[in-house]
Amino acid sequence: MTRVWRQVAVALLTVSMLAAAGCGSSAQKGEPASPRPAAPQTAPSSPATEETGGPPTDWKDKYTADELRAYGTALSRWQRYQQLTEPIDETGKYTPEAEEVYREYVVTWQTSVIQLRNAEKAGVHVEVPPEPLWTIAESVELKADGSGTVVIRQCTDYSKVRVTKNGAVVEDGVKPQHVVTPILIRMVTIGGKWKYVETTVEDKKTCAG
Amino acid sequence: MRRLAAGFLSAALVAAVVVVLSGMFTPSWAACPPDPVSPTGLCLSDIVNPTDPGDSAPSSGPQGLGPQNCPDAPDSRCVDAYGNQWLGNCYAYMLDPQPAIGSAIWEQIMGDLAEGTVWACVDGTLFRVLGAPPVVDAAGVALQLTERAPFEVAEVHIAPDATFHTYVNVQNWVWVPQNQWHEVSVSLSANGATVTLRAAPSKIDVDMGDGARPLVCRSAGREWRKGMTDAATTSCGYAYKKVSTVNSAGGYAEGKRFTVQGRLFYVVDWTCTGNCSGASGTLGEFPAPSGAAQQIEVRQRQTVVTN
Repeated sequence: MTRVWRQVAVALLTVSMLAAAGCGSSAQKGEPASPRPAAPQTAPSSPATEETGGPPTDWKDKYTADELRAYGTALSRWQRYQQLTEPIDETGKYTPEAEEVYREYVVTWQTSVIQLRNAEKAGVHVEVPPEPLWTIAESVELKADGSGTVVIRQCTDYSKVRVTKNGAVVEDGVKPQHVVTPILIRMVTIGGKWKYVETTVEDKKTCAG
Repeated sequence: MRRLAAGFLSAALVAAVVVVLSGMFTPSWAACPPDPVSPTGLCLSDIVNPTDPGDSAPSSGPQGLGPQNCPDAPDSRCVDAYGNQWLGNCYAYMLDPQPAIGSAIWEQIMGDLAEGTVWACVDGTLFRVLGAPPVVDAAGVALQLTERAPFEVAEVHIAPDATFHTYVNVQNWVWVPQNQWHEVSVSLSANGATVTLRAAPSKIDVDMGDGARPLVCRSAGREWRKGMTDAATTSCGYAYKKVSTVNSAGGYAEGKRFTVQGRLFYVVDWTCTGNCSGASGTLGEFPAPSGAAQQIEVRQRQTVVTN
């Protein structure tokens, strides 16, 4: 096995995405996140407007129609995935149905299954998930064969997040340091579908920059 | 998990680390990075994942069987509990489906290569394997499958019933329900291979609690039913040679009982189809988890001679 590993070259999937994330965004207006039910109030404060900022108005200008279409499809898949995994994360239990969701929406779905099984063993529940506030395209790369990569910049509010482990609320280390901060969601096409690859939290500033 | 991320020192990641180090003296952002965050950006690795990656692998088989030829892996196990293979730095699996050659994600991982396979460490880190994918350690996967096999937990019955009492030199019938004596199987598909484990019951092993060697029966035994005569026989019986009502000093201890506990054993074989290291093999005999303990009082019959 060691010999095999020597043949393995680790690909730095994060490089381009994270580098791009470090540049920040100057866009102004984007597609609103899908509506979500109001989360139970577990934190006394909501993010101030100066933290949430707003989507840049001209962010679409740098993309072609095809790229915007690809972004829209990838975003829809991401939002659907979020919608489907909220109850899974809240329940924190492996089910074949949960595995099907991962298989459908995640490139590394086996890792998602392992994490869910580990969460079940550890008694971890995401009772109140983060709330998406607004999204824009961070980058869109399309190839002639129809495959591509879309990075979604999503301003996310972590103020109401509630994670428990064996019934006790976990306070430390779960949320980013900024209550409202952008995350970058990388989606790629595989098997003809847009699927989730990874998330990076900027956490260097609020969404307002 | 943390060590799996070694080598991912992209400029941006370094920047993120700097945020953690310069932002707080005690890192409230736990292990993210280098551990990956959840899709929604939460850092759950410290509370969800075992302390050590090896913890995710189950303990070795009850008899310590199985491949132990990956010395740098947790517990030297070449395959983890989910069938992922140790590839020198992490337990990993081949992406399913694989990206199309030349697609965007293929190029990100494989560059200009036109062959090879894309793999992921169990933490989700993608990497490439050149040439043919490593064959699946079928015996290792089969060993892990013993942890998932639906072995029966023996429901040991005794006649006379343990809620009553028995006597020295009386043949006690011992059995498990016939519906517990059956073959079990379980399969796992990973990395282009499907491993199927089949286990057939081989014996019941019952510790009768008297310190003697366990009772071993090669069948489920025969259920004793009311109305059976003394002529009825069983292949699974046990006669105590001493009473249970004795304390450590050799004196009489009223109500003291022996603890009886048994379990089934299975002979375990495996087959593998696809990208396998072998087509079939055997893991030998495996014990199922022990059944519930029960207490039985063993008395001595006294003969009283009267004139």
